[in-house]
Amino acid sequence: MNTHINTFLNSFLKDKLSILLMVVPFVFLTACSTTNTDTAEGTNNASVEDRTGGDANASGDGSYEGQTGGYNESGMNDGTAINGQSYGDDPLSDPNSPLSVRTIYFEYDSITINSEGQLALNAHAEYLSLNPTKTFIIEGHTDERGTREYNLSLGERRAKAVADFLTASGVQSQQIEVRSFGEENPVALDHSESAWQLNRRVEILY
Amino acid sequence: MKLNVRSSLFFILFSYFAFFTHQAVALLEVDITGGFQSATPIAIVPFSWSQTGKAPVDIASVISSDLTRSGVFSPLSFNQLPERPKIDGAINFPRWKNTEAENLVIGQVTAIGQGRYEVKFKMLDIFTGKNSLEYQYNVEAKNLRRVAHQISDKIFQELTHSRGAFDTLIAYVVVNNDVNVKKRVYTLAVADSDGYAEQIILKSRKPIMSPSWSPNGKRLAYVSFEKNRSVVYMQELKSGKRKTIAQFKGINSAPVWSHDGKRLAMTLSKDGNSEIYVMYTASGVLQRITNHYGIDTEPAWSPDGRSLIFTSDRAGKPQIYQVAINQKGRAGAPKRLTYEGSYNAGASFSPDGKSLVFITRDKGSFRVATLELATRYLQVITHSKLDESPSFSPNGKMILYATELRGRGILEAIAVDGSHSPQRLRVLSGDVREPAWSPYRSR
Repeated sequence: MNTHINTFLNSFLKDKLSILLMVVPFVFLTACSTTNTDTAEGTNNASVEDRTGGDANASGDGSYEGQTGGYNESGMNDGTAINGQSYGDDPLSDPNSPLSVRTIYFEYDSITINSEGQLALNAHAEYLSLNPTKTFIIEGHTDERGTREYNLSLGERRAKAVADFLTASGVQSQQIEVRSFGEENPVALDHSESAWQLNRRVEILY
Repeated sequence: MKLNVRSSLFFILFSYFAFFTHQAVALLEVDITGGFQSATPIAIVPFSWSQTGKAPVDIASVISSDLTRSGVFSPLSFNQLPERPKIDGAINFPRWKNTEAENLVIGQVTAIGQGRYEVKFKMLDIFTGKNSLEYQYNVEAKNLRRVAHQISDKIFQELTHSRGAFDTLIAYVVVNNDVNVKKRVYTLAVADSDGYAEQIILKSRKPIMSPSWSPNGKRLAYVSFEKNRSVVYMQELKSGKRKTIAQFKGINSAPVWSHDGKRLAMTLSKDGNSEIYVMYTASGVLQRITNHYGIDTEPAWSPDGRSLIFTSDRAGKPQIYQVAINQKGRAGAPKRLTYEGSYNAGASFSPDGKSLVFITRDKGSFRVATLELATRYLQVITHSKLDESPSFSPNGKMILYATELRGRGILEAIAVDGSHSPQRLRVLSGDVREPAWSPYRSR
């Protein structure tokens, strides 16, 4: 977690996105009020989660159709490597940008976005507000504990909490597609608290 | 008794391994943990075979394995059999009376040409010397195992007066849980209740979950993420033909058939968040059943089709609720069924409608529990940590569920009263989960 904050601060120091300094305080206030609204709606106390791994490039992999009976390996996509040297004008391609933080982690039993998550989401909100034609996916995941179907709903609720945060910060709802994989896509396969921490997450997929 | 179980297990295990080499993903029965102290001894003599060499299926061994798994019977080991009588031969009853068994099963398999076989068996009461069962079958080789399961059902019925559930199928999902998500492969498969005769229903690089049997056992509804989001499909097992049932915006999940086969209850979030809906499958008419900002999911029908139970966190934590259903949809306000504990989810009814099975959080672990509806008696029946997807066997005697053992996803089946240790089913590599026990098969 600290790594993410450090990366974020570093990017400030490097002044790649100095405009953020002016905008962040405003967005942050908005964000806080959004969180409170969530609580008022009673959506703040989600339940248990489950495992299953995140697929950071899931959106690039959609051409695979399940096969009934047979099995086909075609249509798999390894994703596109990012050339770190030439990201040009697009901060999305900049590994040092706060936009490179694309995973928001959650506490057990919770859909509350912590301050670290809010910092990252503020950057995404600003970028997406300035690029209103840009669409993206918010994908919710849980840890493996509890039932799969319940976790599918919990993952969606988590993703919607992130979507609400972003729309409250100026992102248009038409830009957003919310998905949930519940516990079905764990990034960490252990059956331990450290694995569960990594699996309770929302991924922003551009 | 323990010794008996072990030595016959060795034989069973051996034959499972031999079989596995022909299978892509096959389930493997590994363990019947502990002995069944209360199990009834029974003598099952290897069936005689008309040709030289080995019979295509060792029917007696399949029957022994079935009856052992039930926890109700403990077949004598081979070296405890005082003789191996033929079906029409003489039987030395005084010698059998010296064994612990009260019943004796003998039979024969005859090749009758054109790939067909005649199977005869009878069961005798060792004390009276009288036949209690006598049947004959004429089948193709591919149905020999099924005949063995049907014989197990007849023995079980005769001796326990409850219907056996050996001639049934289970559906399940296997995943090679590769660290690299792109290398994961999910397989939805169906096999006999002992894990043999596996058929692949669907393979995908994306998660598959929640298989649910149609009441006639001919179709499965399930959830597949092959389009990168949850979509509900219905697939005919024989033809492999499938139909998209629900791919609305948001979650499409938790399909479960009504007992008349006409309606599917499911969870959709198309109207904002997870709610229960009922779809009439012939017309596609959709009825919304719940309306709450909390999570409502995991619907299951009562056996009379007049109500649904579901999981909801409307009171803060997930608990089980019940709502009456009629032709027009919801017929009354949902009422809460579980109050004990902070997490009760994924419930389904026993076949007699008198109790529920679900996952409960018990001392920080997620375990299988039953609730007797009349008395509200909640009993935790497992001791594991990460149980999921419990359901009753069609005869209501066993509960099948998924759990984790030493880092691997396995299936376990346990007697409803939790009276003996579970039997385990696992795959050689990867995780197996999402078990769904089929209804009784039509003969």
